[in-house]
Amino acid sequence: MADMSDKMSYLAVLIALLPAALAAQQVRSGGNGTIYMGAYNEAVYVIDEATLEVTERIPVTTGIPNLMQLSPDNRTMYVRDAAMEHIEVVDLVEGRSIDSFTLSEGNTRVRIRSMAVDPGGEYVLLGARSYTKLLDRFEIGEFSILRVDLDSHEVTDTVPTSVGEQRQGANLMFSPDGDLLYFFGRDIIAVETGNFTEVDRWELSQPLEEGLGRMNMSFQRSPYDEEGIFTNLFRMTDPVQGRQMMGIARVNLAEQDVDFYTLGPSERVSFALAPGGRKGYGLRSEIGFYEFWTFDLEGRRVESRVEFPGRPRMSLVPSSNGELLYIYNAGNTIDVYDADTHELLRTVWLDADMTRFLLVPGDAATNGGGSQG
Amino acid sequence: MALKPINRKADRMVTYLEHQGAVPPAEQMAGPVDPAGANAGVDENAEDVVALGGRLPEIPEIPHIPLGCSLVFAPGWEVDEAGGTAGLCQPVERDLFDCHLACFWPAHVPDQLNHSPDWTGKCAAAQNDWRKLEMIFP
Repeated sequence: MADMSDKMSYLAVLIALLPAALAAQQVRSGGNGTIYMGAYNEAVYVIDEATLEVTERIPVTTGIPNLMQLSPDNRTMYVRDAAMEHIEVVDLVEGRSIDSFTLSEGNTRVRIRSMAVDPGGEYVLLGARSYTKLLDRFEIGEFSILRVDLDSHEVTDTVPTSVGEQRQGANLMFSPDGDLLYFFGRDIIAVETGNFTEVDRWELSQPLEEGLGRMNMSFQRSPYDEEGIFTNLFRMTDPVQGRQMMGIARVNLAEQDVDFYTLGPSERVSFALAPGGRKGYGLRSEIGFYEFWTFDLEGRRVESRVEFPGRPRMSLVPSSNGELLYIYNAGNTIDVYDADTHELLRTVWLDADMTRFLLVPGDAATNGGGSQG
Repeated sequence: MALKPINRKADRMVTYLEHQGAVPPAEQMAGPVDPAGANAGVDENAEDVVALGGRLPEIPEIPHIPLGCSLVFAPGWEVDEAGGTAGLCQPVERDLFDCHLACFWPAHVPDQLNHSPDWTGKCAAAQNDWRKLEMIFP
């Protein structure tokens, strides 16, 4: 009888504490940013980072949104569809699609591989190739970078083929004033945007110092890097011993300077910079084995490696306040982990699978901050 | 004072440096005639000594996988961008749409680029409502 009474007491205490525990879990916010998600139901989802609730579903007219790029003031989004044929302009303030165009016509389809919108919003550069269906075959055109006027939708120029033979696989990025265009391939090539002539070339494909291997790193933009700075994991092969090494590099585009250090043998781990630039996080994924890595960028070391029950094809981005880690990609979930303990806090289930996931720190509609491609 | 290679290894280094333009050709060097065997096999082993600051050998390209997925009919055969399987999805529903998207895996998932662009139209979240996906008959 006494046992029963004790159990009832415990139960009463648990029931009393339950709302408080739930409330504590609910108030755990990652910051005041905004997440834009391309969704398979032909919409751009706007997600409030503080609650991870969908605040708006903006339908697009050209199909499944895939590539997404924000204007410098974060008020306009440029979307390329999954069929790689259309560019759509979305007004994020009004929450609606306001324009779209395609370069395909007749039996010729122009597939757009990459895009970079001029910071002034006047034109877009499209890396594209044409595919013409003839009676007995397809005729595949040369890859070219086209300058398309965003008002008239006319192709007004073509970036000369003499500019960077590596341009096909390169990322494109404008300088903040729009005067320079950077091609990020094995080397970084800067061209002026008047006539698209090369003005500078940074041969990162060659070793930075004697005795070093060639540095391989991605120039994907982090929401937490300063303008013109790229912090990322790099890999290189020691030319003497043939060992694959990895490390962290901080590339300053304007000053053509690289600050780098090695961490140790190369492993299949990703890297995502945390806000403030003092830490980074990574995911190591193998079948049945998943790890969170924490990089101490001040101490220039790997701070911790923690195994966790992950899944294949995860992507990671730290929250805008640095306290949480979001795991997304390949599906309709966002897993929220504590950045310090790596404890799974909750999983947010969305009503659509995602194609793209952009986190914009701060008040996205007004902060005028950076964008991600 | 110019140096003369005294053994096979030193000769290879001279050959390498000549190729880089760092030293005059061996025949212009002063010194005694090279010892017997010093030049044996020079051609077949040329450039196997790599100087620290020299030009590096090209990195072999990663496997070229057209549009990300398999283009052959082989159930269960799919590779990730590195040519392995570690990057593939579990559960499989998570990968259904991304296989459909541009990388079209024609034997298993309808081709989004040309023939079935609206295949996912009635099913936004594959894990939840994959039963709504339509059967496609080519």
